[in-house]
Amino acid sequence: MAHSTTKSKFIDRAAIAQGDDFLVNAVKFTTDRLRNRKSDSSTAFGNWEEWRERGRAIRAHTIAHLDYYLDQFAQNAASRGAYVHFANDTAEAQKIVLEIARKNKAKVVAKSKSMVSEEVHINHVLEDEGLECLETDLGEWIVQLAHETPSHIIIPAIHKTRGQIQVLFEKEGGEKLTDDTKTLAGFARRALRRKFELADIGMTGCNFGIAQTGSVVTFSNEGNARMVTTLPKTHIVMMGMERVIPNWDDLEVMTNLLPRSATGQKITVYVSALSGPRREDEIDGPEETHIIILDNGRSEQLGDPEFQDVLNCIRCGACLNVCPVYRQVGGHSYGSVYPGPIGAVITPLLQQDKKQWGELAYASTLCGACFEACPVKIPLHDMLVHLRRRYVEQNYTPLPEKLAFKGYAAAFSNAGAYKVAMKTGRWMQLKVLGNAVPESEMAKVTPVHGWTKYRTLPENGGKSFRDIWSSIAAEEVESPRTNETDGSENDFGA
Amino acid sequence: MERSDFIRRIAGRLGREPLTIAPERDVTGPPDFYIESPYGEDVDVDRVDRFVTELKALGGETIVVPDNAGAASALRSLFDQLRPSSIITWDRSEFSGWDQDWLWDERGAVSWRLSGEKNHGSEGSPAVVAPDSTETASIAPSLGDLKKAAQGADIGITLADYAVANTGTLALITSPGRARSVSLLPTTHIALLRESQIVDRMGQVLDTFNTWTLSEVPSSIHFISGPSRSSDIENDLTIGVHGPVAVYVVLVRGV
Repeated sequence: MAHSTTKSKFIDRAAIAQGDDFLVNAVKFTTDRLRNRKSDSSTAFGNWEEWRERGRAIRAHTIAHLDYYLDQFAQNAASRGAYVHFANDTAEAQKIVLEIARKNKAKVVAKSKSMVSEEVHINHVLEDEGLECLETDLGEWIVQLAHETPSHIIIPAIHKTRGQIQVLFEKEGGEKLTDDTKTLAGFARRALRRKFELADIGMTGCNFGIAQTGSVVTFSNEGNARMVTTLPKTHIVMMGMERVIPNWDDLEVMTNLLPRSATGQKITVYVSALSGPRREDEIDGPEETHIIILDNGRSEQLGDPEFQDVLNCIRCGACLNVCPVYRQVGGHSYGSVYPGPIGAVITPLLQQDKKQWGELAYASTLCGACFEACPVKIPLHDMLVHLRRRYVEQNYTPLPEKLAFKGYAAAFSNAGAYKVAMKTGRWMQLKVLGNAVPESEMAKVTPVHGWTKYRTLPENGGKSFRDIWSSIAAEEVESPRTNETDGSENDFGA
Repeated sequence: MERSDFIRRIAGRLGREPLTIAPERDVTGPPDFYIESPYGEDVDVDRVDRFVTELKALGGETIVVPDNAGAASALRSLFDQLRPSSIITWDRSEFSGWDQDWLWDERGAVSWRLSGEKNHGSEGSPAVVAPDSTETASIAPSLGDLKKAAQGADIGITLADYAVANTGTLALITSPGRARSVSLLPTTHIALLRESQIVDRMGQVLDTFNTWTLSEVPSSIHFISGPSRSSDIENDLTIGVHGPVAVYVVLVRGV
């Protein structure tokens, strides 16, 4: 599969992002806002840890029995009149969509937000076929008009200013607008209403598939997911194979977790459950429903004790908002549909080119904030370490790094070599790199420049612990501790 | 790829043959503490008050009335305020027991229904063009007509099947007489609701779905919490992006 958007390296993309002041500030502002709203709403809801544990248990159980629940979902959806397709990879998913489009002689496809459709590059494929493929989520539409990609899972266009949006909309509509939110959103409403009317196919993602009845559940605030499942003749659902949950009762748990974790809302404005096309005597809704269930590398995570849990993800984006790396570099730096910590884990897992994408596992400080934010408790920080280990085992690390770790191993496995290494290190800091001061001129040409450029080394006293050990030991013998006889432990009051 | 191969591969990765009977579960649905006290421990809540408060926080408005006549006056005063040129609604028969025939007879409300009478008002012609309902039921209505009508509708009037107090949510279940467009396309959505239809938490609505046989599962179910919204432009909240700009609930207390 290939859902890459670029071939460059993370560090280069991050450097571009860092050069965009508006982006840097917008990412900080948005992630702070979402994080604080999540924190407030989960605290107000109460017992958040119990909810997380329940969410984890439901998702983990489903994934551990995915064959059963997915089959149940597919059969029940089919019994409600939906066509259910299984796509092994990007190529198969594209082929299925194209066949449906051709059969229906479709000209316009209206989409609500679907990350899976982006993963398999549906827009490009349909446009190459001569169809108009239209994003109808306000943020996704802005990004599409700018010929860019989303920078955040929940708020795709955080990197665009209202001024830029005004220009994009004026160009699209051929009318003069102002840059206030009401005017811009009003234009989007009018312009997209016309498009909904024209669309032959409506395409959505699937937040949860209810196995019990074969129902596709979508969460949206704007109502575009409802629009594209109400007006067009054909509805295509793009879903990752891991999206199912067993039953309606479980949906209540997911409804309590997902909006709170994503935006701090108690519930999104619309939660819709769609079960097949319109019934024979109904007036609106699609006449034909297709559900495309995608594997694309997901099944390889099943049965893998290190990574199976990543399939528990409910795509809330909470891990992005707390990640010290994402908060600095934004979504585009990850070069993939899935940014942030979850992207740093699933992109290398789903991509075939492990060498190119494995580097994303290094876009992390391993602080574990992602795990703490995750509503279904996915240990993303552990997975990032596992990914790094595999990256090294595959021999993908650059030569200087390999040599450095070889040297490290040699020094730490022999007392004499260790002593020499420590002495050399101390000497290097005092004489070359700079001791408790910003890096010296000489440090700039050393291999540790990447560190010393941003960090001042702590003060080095000039003597090592080993050097002074013998004198410490002598002091200890001369003045033994006597405080166990001073009765201080009993000072709790009588 | 074939379904059986796809499922077989998943089972294979999990180290076994595909399961044919439902797996045992340790837990299902929400934790007990939530079912026992959905508003938090020792919190006693008046469902109507809670629903009104929650919906208000989302930008929706509830008008609490004592009876059907009160509901009619509430609707009339909303119409005076909103001055709709077109009103669309569900099938007239769905409103039995609500005593709101005037909506069709006086105001020319248009019912969206595939077959049956057009339900046009006797005086004045509604701005909304109803899909041609004289065709036989097996032929789909002209989507063009339907979509054109969608652009012009000012108010959509529906009946909530349930409402959820702790989130200010309406639950609408689609059926032949209850078209999904009516709660979505008009600028303003007005739902009629009775107090007895309000539950504490969403799970109590979902529970009722457990009694459905597969053939009874409706084509769509919509949980609606306030007007359409977006924060996609510089994190600035805006109301009414695709769905209705305003949501009103006319709530009859005591029934």
